[in-house]
Amino acid sequence: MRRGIPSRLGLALALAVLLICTLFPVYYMVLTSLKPDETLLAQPPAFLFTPVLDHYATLLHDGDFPRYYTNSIIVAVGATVLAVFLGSMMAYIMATIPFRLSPVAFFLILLPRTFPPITTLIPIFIVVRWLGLMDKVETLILFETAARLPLVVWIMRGFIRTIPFPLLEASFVDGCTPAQAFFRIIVPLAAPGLAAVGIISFIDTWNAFLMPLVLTNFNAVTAPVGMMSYVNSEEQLIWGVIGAGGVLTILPVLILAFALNRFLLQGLTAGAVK
Amino acid sequence: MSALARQRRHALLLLFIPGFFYLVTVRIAPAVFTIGMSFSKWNLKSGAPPSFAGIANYTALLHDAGFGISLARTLIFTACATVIELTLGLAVAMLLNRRFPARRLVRTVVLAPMVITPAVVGMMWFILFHDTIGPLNWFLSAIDLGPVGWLTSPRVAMVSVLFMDVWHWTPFMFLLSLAALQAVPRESLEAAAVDGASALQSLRLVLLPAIADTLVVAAVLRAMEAFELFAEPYVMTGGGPGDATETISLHIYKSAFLFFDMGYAGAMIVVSIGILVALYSISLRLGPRVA
Repeated sequence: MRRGIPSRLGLALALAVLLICTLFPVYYMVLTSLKPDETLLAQPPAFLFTPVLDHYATLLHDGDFPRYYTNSIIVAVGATVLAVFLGSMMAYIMATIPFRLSPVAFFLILLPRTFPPITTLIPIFIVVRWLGLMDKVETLILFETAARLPLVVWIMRGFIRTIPFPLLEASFVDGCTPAQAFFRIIVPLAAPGLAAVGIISFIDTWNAFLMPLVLTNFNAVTAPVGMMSYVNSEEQLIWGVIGAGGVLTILPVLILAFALNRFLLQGLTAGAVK
Repeated sequence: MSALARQRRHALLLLFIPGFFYLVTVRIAPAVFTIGMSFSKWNLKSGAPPSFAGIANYTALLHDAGFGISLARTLIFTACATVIELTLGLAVAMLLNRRFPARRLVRTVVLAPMVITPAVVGMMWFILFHDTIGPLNWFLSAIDLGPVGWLTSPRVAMVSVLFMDVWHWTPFMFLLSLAALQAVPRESLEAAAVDGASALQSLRLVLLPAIADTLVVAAVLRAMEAFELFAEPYVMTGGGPGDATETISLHIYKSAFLFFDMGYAGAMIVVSIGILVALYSISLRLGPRVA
């Protein structure tokens, strides 16, 4: 079908509006992070100025931000590795070795997906405080891993089911135990699925707010929660630093999303509708 | 027991049980505890041990205007956010399903907001909405429409939160709509065109029925998450001005972690889970009929 010039112009216009609406908030935050102090509070807001990296330097040299950031990386990587490891093994059993109680088990695994994060937080807070485990990255990893598991099992079960069963049976005939077959057959074949759930787990853990907000207060504070201390500051010229912190905080998830776009889309769609 | 059966049991114990046990301990058990807690009188600040209170927390909820208002506010927000995002998401999906240069890149860029850290989204929009340094008010003033008290006027603040949410989550609806659209066979659309259907007719009669199931699932997932909105208003307004943007999650958070009224917070959590489950099952039952 041939489309006329007006139709193509309309398409271009619609795309332009869409892209501007999508990008402007991020663009303005980046802009704020690069403004020299004297233009930060300028009225009307300055769009043209010589960008400076002062706010990034402030954030990285004097302050707690490097610690927040390191914590975020440790927690996100730790919880992702654990959740993908445990969850894909569980998914493998669910997909290939049915046992008597597997429907019940599957229900119990997926049930927590419908809980709002706040559901489990109060008992967790009480127990963590009672055990003296407050404000530790290990504690965050422990609970964030559990929060990621249901989705990992759900998506990986779908991926593992697409692996041809004869392949698995052949490995059993060759003397593989079901446990060995997981590492030799499933892991290599389900690698795209592992990448997809890995990215989603990383992004979800990195973005987590409520759990770190309640379970940390100094040592284990993560970047999204740590940013709050800047937002609440009374300092007038803090905007640049806030912008810089925001940019650095979303950088890893944006890089992942763009670099591993194909896997992310596969995972997101599978997580929702499969 | 045969060798294979033994190996299978071995695999079950080794690969499945540890993760399952972990999940039950860390996710299921606390939820059960929360339900139990909702029948107790337990204030962490008073230092008194929890005592059984029967349904006292629930009857108190019935008379708690703050809870009712917050719940109503969250439900209205959830309905508006879901409908707007579903409509916009579908429109964007139809737009980006057409052919144009750099289509993959544009799609990726349009999806970007949904991976951005919610707390940072709150911060980003806090700057945009800001009375003095925000570009929105400057722009509105320049065309004689402003300034608007985006986050400072109690009547406007929740609408501003809705704007922010639409920016953040329309991409999710777009993603699922696009996946569904791509699965619609080209032939059925071409057949509709041959039969002389207008664009609107083919949307209503061919496209929508084909993607209705996915849209229902997308709407349910989105509604459930919108109902749990927490980080963004926490960062942008702290629930204010007054309690104008206090969502139900924020309300529960405050009563648990500011006032340490654990029993009461537990009851509010149970009520919100009830609403979520109801939303979920109603929509699932509605799903096939829509299709």
